Amino acid sequence: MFTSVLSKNSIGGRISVQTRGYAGRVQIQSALPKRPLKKIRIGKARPAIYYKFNTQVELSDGSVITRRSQYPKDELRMITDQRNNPLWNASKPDASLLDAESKGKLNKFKSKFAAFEQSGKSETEVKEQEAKAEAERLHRLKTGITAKKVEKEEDDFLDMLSSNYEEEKLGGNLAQKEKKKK
Amino acid sequence: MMQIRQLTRSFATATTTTTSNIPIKSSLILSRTPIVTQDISEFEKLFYNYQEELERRLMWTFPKWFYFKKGTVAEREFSEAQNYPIPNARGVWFPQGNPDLKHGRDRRFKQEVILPKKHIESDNNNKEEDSDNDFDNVGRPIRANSRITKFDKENDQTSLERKLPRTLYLLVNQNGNWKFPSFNVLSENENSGLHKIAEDGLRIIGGDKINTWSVSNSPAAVIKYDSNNKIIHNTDNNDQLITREFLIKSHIIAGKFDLQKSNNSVSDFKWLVKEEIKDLVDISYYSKIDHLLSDI
Amino acid sequence: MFTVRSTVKTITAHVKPTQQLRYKRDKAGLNPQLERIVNQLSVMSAARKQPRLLKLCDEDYIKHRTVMKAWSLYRKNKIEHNESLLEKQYQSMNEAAAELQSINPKLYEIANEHQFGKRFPLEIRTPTDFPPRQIWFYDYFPKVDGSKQQ
Repeated sequence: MFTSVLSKNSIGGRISVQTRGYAGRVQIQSALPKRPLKKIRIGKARPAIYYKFNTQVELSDGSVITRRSQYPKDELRMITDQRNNPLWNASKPDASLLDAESKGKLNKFKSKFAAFEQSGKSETEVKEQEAKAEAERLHRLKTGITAKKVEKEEDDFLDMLSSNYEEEKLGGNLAQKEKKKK
Repeated sequence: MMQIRQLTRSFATATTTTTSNIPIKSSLILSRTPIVTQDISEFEKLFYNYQEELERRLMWTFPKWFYFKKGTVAEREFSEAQNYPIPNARGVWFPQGNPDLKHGRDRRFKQEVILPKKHIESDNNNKEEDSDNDFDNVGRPIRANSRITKFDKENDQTSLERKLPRTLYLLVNQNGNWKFPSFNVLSENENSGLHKIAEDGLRIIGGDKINTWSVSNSPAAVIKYDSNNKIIHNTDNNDQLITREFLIKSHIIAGKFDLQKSNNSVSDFKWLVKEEIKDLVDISYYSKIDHLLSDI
Repeated sequence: MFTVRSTVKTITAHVKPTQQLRYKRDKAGLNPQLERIVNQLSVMSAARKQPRLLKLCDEDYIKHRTVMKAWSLYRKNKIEHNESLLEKQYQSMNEAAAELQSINPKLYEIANEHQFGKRFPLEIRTPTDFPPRQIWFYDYFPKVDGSKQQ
């Protein structure tokens, strides 16, 4: 019925026997010795005041707050927060774009598909466009505003590629099969 | 009384008079909430400093071993940046008492942890240029913007970017009086309610490129004027000639107040803090709105 | 009597390092497992990290009491001022509501309709210590459907 566990206490070196029933709570003795209890007299208790640094936190729009933190760092920069999240910026028309930009997603996308965009253009044209895009991007990052959307400058080849495409349906109609089974 | 009023309402649909023949106005207190934290007084500054020092004195030793693994570069850099106190030694006399060192901290004093500097300070000359090119660099040092803007220096009272630690209120010069913008309630627009009339009126005089949020449908205060446009203070006067102006509170969220040229009644506008409003408006008018305005 | 070092010695007998290191780590001192135990014990032993108690002399104590009293008075005045402002605001709201009800019941009804789903706008920000790069967003354009109010 009862099982017993032998364990050696490292401080006293005495042998203690632990018993448990199936209904009771399992008691596991720690490998570490028990600390000798120190009596805290009334009025002598002291609170734990951990060391804290005054950390300057820059939010994504450039505003700075000071917060106290235990982590040894005096400057923190938020890359995404409520200041560039579309949910908190309903008035700004393109906060989602800003969000992607700050994470570097947009850059990654552009570098990947740059070849499509620049097909059939002279070198100077490409350079001009790049310079313009870069200036716009910096302005966006700085102010959080995008220039107003202009009509499409060139016809989009990427759009054409997907114009006649129909998504292939995988798998049959599950619902009907189940009905037949019944 | 009620029946008479309802009767007049049913007959008055064609005319532009108010239904009850009592002139009502709806006025809008449009405020811009503070953008930066409020300026603290000298006393507060001193007290916060005192509390900070007390807390620093009572803080536990910084657990270096918890944040820096032994033998790593980060640990070495951190250790090199510290100014460790001199340990106690036999035969040495310390004028300020014997040091009591535990974990490299003198337990009698506050611990000052110096974090190793990450950025090498560049020259002040190319700071401006740096900030532009540096934008993609996530590890650039933090440079806080000034709490005082150029509009503060120019004292441009039509700008929304002034007095950042304070609440700004929109005041307009309407028919020669500086006051909050107010609009007549007519029988056509009566169904929309006071708050809607005030918001729509604001868009008529200030353009619709403004985003506001009205705090409540119900008015925050009422101001009564007699037939000579003087403010009446006694309340139990139910004369038909008295104009009642109801004040609705609202916040500006985005956009700007852009004075429309087509409107004749409003000639000028200003964004002001409470003290400036006190200097600008009538004393009797200010006594009615004093408690509605925020001190910060 | 009971220090971290001594306990570590007693524990080392039980703990076998799971990962055998090729080189003897002189600089690192302890092996990772032991280091962890030392960390844990150091975190637990508050006495070694606690600074000494503050012992103020009589003069300093009186100064401290004066400072704290001044602060509490300052706070009290501020709170009382704010409460009186709130009281006044409530009175004026009451007055306005009563006035509106007596002269135009219809407007009063609209003013007191329950505003379902009305929320504080997310775009009003908590003040920060220093302003953002772009302080105000001017280029707002109203939405096409014109539903600016919820």
